Amino acid sequence: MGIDLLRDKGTPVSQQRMSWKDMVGKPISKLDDDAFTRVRIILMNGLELDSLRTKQVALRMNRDARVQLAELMRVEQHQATTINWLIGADHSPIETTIGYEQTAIEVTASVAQLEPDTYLACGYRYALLEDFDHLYRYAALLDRLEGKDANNIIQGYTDIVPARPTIAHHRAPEHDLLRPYGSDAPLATKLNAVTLVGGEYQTHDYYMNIGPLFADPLARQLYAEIASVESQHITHYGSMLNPDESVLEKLLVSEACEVWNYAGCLEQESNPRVKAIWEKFLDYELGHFQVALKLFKELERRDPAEVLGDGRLPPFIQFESHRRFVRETIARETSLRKDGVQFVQEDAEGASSIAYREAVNAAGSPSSTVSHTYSWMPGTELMRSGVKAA
Amino acid sequence: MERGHNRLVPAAVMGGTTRRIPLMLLPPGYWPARPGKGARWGRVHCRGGSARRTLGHADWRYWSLESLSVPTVTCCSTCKDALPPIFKREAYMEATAPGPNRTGAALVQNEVNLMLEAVRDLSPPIPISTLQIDVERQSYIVEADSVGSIPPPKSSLKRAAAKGSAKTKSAGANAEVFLDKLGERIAFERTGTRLYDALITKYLALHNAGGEVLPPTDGTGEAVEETALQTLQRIRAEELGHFRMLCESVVKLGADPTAQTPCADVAAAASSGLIQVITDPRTTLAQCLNTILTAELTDNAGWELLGQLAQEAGHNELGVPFSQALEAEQRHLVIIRDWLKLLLTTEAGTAAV
Repeated sequence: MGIDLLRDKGTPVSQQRMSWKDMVGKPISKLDDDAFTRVRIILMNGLELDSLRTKQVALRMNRDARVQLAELMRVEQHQATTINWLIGADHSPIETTIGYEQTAIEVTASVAQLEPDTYLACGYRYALLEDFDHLYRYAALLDRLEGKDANNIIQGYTDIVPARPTIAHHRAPEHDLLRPYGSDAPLATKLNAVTLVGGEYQTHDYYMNIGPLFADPLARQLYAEIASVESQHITHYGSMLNPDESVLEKLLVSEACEVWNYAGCLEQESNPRVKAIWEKFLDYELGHFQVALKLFKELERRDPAEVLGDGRLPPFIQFESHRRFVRETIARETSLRKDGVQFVQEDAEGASSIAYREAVNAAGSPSSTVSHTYSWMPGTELMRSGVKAA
Repeated sequence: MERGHNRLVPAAVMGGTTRRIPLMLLPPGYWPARPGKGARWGRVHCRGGSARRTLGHADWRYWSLESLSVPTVTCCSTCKDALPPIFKREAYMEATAPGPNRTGAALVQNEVNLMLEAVRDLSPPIPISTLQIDVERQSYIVEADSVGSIPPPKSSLKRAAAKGSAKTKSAGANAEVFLDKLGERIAFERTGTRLYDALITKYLALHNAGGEVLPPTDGTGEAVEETALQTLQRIRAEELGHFRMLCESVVKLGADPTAQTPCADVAAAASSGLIQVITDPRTTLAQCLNTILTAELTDNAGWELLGQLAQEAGHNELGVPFSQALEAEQRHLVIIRDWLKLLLTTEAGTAAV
């Protein structure tokens, strides 16, 4: 794309206006659109919401930037609406959930391969195996509750099998933390972490909202269990972020992250209508970035190059099947566990996690119950030859 | 050409990519050159004159998203030659047709084989047992509270329920069940009125686009004066009439027709999908009729049952109005079935199906 963060101006914020009808356009087709169009929509909605979250925190911590932050947040809100409203109403909540987990898997797999820091890359692979397992558990729920095949959503790009079992994801809080990247970390490392935090936040919030909408107690249990793990993942990825960054530095990275991801979506989008949205919002974000850049220079009196390097964007997330990478990671790292900020073998896991796990699983494991004896099969497990029909 | 009433959609062809731009979003100065009534193709002329500024080709990209209230483009003299927009007539509503449906396993057989290979390695098939799920669900069922309570009647029913004999207790319980089911029908008829509102809107969208696909019928096979729209409006009015008649009946029984009874609540949960289908702009008239058929079948069974319950509870005064309501619902069912069958057998490939 050749975008230069320090030079490209984008659309001025004053010209960023959308009507309600602009925001509420035609949704994508669950049946006809490519699964990665949905993946990009889910990812970018997550990033928009995290961008709003970052600015709300900044608003509480910076008197001088209040007006600019308020202006940016209004546009981000409407961008998030435009994107999230692209999901069609014929997606059941579990089908959307399958889309969320596919997003987590394929985006995290790509980020894990792009990440230059080997320790953080291990952190991405670690949580990847957990989101991968969530897909299997939710696929079982979709099959057994609604009688639907998760592959109608997945479209053959992502495997539906267990990895590190969800029952083992529950860790004591201190073992969710990772070592943060340093102030000298390359821009790619910062963008990777912000992207994953945003994605996990959105997934967590979605599960927390739709979990109680289910009548089925098993579904309510499963969403309760996995929402808790997603909350751990927010901590897991959130602890990668350098806590010594200033608020405006975080704002700058957040805006750069949106530019980077919109540019990646634009480059790879197959739906022309959605592609036009990515193109428009890329220009919007370049406009937002200019505001953040100005605030950073004027209020912090620092050189943006300290944070952004030369202003060129790192390689994009690849929206494609990472099956081979995931399979290799499963084979190699399923047995990994956490002890503080270290990745350790199963037998060296932090003792407090084991005690915590025994407590939350004391009355059974929803993820294990719902998927007991489940093997994915095209057309649902009712297609299996051993299943008796009248 | 009158803005907002045409269905011409220009497609700006640029770099091999086609982007459709609704004509109504074109800025002033760009209109199809004499497309004529029913024209399938036209060319855009830049009439210029009112240009605020000249923009390059790249600005065309944003036309699909900018509304006219943000006149970012008014003239581009170079685009006329280098970027000729093409006008193509499109149906207002899209027919359900063969297309790039990506959901099936057969389309991606190689990928599915890899998925099955992973299944063999990591979750090999064993005999299916959902016993753990069943046990867990049953434990919740046994321990569950009810959805809610039946609102207590104010007068005679309450007194009957409060009396001590076994016979009267039974009568009281029956009376409460009757009230609960009355509440259900009230809710169903009220929602049914709204379902027909949505169905009429869907029908009018097709009708206004030039499609008249539903023949006049009253469900008896006899010639009728009524148009399809009038029939839909009449059915809607009858659903509303049933709702009001039920409300009056409940008031006469000393109960509150505005209360939401447990059966009303559960029936609303059951029919929430019907509303989703009919109000979805993408669904066709046939898909909507199929959905309203579910409602009418349920409504027919509901009125049959309610009539029996009224009789059991000794409310003979409700016999006539309930019978009349059932007869009306039976006619609705026949009409909807006829229309649906007609659409599916004679209108395949059109926007209605």
